[in-house]
Amino acid sequence: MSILKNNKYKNIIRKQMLWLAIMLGLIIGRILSPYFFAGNNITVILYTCAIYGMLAIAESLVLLVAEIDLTIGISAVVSPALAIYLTNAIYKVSNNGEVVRGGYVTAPWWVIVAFTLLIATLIGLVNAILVVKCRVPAFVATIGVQYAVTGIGYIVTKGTPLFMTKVQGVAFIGGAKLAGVIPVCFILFLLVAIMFIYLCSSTKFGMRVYSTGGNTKSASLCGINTGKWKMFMFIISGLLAGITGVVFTSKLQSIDVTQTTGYEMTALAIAIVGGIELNGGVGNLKNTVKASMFMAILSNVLSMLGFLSYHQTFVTGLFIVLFAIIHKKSDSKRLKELNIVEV
Amino acid sequence: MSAEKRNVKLLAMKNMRKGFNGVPVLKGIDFEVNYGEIDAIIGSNGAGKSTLMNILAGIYHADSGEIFFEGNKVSINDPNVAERLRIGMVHQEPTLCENMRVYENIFLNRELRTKLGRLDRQTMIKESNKMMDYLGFQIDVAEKVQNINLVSKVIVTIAKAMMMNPKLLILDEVTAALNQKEVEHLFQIILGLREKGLGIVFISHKIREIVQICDKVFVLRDGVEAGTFDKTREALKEKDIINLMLGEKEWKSEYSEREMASHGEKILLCLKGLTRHGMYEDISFELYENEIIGLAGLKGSGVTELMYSIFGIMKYEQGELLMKGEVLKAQSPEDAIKRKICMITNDRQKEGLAMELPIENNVMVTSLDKVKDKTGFINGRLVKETAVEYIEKLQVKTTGPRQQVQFLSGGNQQKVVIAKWLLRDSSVILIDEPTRGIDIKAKNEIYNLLIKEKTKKKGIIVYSPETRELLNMCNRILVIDGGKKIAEVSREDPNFTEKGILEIMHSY
Amino acid sequence: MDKKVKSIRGFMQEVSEKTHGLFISFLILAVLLIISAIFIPKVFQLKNLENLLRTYAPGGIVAVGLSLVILTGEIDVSVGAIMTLAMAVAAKIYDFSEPAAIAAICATGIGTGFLNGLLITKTKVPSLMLTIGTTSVFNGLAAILVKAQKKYITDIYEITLSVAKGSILGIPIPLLVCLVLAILFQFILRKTSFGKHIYYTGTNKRAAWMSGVNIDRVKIICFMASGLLAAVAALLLSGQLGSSTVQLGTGYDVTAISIAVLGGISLKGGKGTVIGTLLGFITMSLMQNMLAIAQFGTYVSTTLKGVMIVLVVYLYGLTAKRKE
Repeated sequence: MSILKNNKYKNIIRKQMLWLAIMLGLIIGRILSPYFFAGNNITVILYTCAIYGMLAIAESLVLLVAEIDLTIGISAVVSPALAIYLTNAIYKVSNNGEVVRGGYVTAPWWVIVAFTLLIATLIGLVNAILVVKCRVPAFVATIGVQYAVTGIGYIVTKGTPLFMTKVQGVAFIGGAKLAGVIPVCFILFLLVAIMFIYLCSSTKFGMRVYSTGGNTKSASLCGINTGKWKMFMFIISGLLAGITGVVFTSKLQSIDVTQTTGYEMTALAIAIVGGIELNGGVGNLKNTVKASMFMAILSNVLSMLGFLSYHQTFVTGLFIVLFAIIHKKSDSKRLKELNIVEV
Repeated sequence: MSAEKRNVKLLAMKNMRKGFNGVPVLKGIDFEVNYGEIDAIIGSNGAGKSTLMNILAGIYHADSGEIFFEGNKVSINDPNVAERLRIGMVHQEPTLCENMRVYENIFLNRELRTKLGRLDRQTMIKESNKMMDYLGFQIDVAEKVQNINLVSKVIVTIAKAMMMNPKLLILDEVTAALNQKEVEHLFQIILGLREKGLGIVFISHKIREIVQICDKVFVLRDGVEAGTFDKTREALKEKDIINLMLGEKEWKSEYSEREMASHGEKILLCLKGLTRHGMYEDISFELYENEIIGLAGLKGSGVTELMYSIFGIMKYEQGELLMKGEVLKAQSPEDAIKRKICMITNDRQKEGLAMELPIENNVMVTSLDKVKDKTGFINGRLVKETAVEYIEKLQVKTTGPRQQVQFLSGGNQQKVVIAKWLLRDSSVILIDEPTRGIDIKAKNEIYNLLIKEKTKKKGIIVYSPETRELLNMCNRILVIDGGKKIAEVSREDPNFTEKGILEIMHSY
Repeated sequence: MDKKVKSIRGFMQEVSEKTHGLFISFLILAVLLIISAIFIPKVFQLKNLENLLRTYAPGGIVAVGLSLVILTGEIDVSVGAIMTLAMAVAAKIYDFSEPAAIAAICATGIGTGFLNGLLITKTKVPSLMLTIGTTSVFNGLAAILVKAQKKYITDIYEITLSVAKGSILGIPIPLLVCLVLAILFQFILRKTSFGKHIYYTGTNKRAAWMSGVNIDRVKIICFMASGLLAAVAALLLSGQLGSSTVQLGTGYDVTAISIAVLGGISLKGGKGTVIGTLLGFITMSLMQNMLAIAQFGTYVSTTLKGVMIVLVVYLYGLTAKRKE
């Protein structure tokens, strides 16, 4: 029997918290500006949510298996660049001419996409091998890979940006809009999110992930190959970072590896706000999606308030600390009821 | 069951050998289990019990030897193979994923799915409920494991093993953390399983329980078989089993026969009406110098919480607590330690020791002032000497003071914890289950230690679920039930026997 | 073949334990020195060494402070932000009085460290989570304070400059500061109760608490030390650069963690030494310098840095004794 009292009540508050935050954000936005709900602005919010969200889901999956991935930000930015230079090299070798002329890319879009996803997934695989096979702590391994990928990105591009405007079809994912408002990339994000939410809640995928992260030892005693599942999450994370990279490239129609992203920190922050625990096994992707939306709205509202980016940083930081404390408080209460002394 | 099956043994292990890092643990063991039989494996820590069972469960690989299951030679390479053979294992520590629900844990790695490939949660819940009914246990299977109590966790672990309809069920020290009532309940379930033809291997340190429930007893000593007992041939006697385990002809006479000096004059600890709602109520007694008080009671009767409250891990809500005449309301162990009180809790690995640190560090952590030299800084040589001194005093089996405690056996780890507090030289020692998970030899050594300590003007309060332990060591015993102090039995009292104490406990 | 591998590994474990894990750090450093001696002898020119160690010293100082925090089992990724904030706070004060500004810098470091420590010990939120949050808070606060001016403190401030750019007996002062602090902290770790408490807390905080260690106080003090050192590093760094920007501390958190990890500190806590961190700092600086002189460019060095960190930690992982 559960020893907790008011169990259901607490869960409801938690569930509503993110919705409430989103509603509040929308209301404040509308109050601040009549243009808040204008098509343009909504597009911006949805685009931001798509980017943040994809990376947040990637990070959440890795966190759920009690690991961490600090490479997703740099992977999203660098893998398209590497993909293009790879294409270039292959074309040169097969005498098809160059695909990069004076900074302008002329390779076929689908080739670029394919290679981007491939390279990003490969980066994920490297992470997977380092953490699981070589037993290097994920924090260190992914920092190391982050450095390495950053360096490789610079070496290959020599720091110069690539322009994609000559590539046919490039603008679709990032630029095209449904009903003139909803970006295609947002739909993509929703599809990805729905797929993973379904996998986690209704298939054995979820069972494996949650048990690997919740108690690796118990899970492997049950015969679950926890190493395989951890590797799997790193690879998926890499793939999702690649997809995000494709979206970036499509929207900005350029690739510039000198842009320091810090996106992995944002992804981590969103996961935390959404209630994913760093020790693994706890958290729900549905909340990650809500948290991504909240962050996107927050960022938009803050811009509207005339907050420059650094103000946004400050406020975002406050929210992270706030949400982290709120999540922890409810867990602490539970432990207290079970008479477990926290130290 | 077919007649054919009756002639074949359920399990036969022949000449099993296994070593770790060059040290042999199993040196050629033969072990058998029949259908519908409960067999006990008993032996000191390090004798090889868990290793043997882990080989059966596919967690370890034997270096050599053969295993025959239902007459067929098998090779158990991983837990999945063991599962296919229908060997189920219930480990000492409940191996559950706390963040997941009961039914999810029960079906972990063998989830039921609908035709479309989705998880079939409804059926899993239904089947889990059926299993719980079968075992005779009430629980909300949709609850998260982190929210249920310890007994429930043990039973969920058993339910999980039962789900694959095992032919052989291994229970590795599952009663360690349960109280008497819970153990009785568990035994009902186990006996029921025996009736259904399961072969059950029961590993335990509690000889009392083994004698109660097992058909055969297999005694391991130092990696080889020391002997077997068969209930059908002769009645099982604890003395015989213990002799075989220790390898000594004469079993030492009961400590309860021993003479014990009465306590000193000075009062160390004084409790007046100490209360904490839901845990213990109106507890009053005094602890004198030179005495050991035993607290007798079932697990969960508030004794651990009482000790925690004296030591500052929890707070008491009402009443008064005096240490040497002055009020004590410790907010943390640090406060209690400053007042010369110390506590040895029942979880040495999580609360008593830093497992990856050497013995030295663990022994000195509370008494760093004692290993400093005139400069006021820590002196490495002093540290080492102190550690060596205590290793010898307590006869800790180790390669040296710098060996990490994680490599010591349970009994020796417990000795390091005791050494830590002996070095501290507190006046009051609280001990919660001093010999949990420790073999008989180490147990005796620890009893001797404690009895010697008390004569140094110290007061000791011991809780143990084994009444005999208390009778061995204590000047008097306080019976606690349901959080209340029911009775006080001193050594001279005719009720100062196992029967007497148990009767008092159950008469309320 | 299997036995050979096992015995080599066993040997490494033994040596590693005897030398408190410094064995690997020494090995790596030695390898780098040998490579330099053979291929890039320019490294050993006094002028180069002086510059190199002066420039990278701030990173080393942050790493030394952070090591204490990591040893207690926590982590602080906000050290970079603390650096930025410390200088931002001092920006206005520099105009009045330099000593006051320096005091303000140190106070900010201690204050932010105290805040981090307090939040972590009282709310029990995991330190990674919390310091990710405080990073943004401190960075944002810093930018707000100076209204995001790109450069400030561009005038010459005597004390700061003389300290940052000066030398005693030929040794750059920032390096001296780093060395002194490292030795001081190492001494504290080995010879004082506080030091032993840090190690015990990092290994098993529950057991430490039950043994009477005030783990909250231990952690808070370590966070404060880390904050203070980050502030000092910021001061020396600004002095060298001659200015301060809102990007001042960027990347220092990762650098500091990398240095600590290179030196054998385990992110789980309870394992490692400050001397190791010092070695890690020398190794890291040397490597960056080697690559710079050999004209590999910053980008290659970034890549190689990443590879080296992973390699070193992998080696450390091999030397850890594990219960089977």
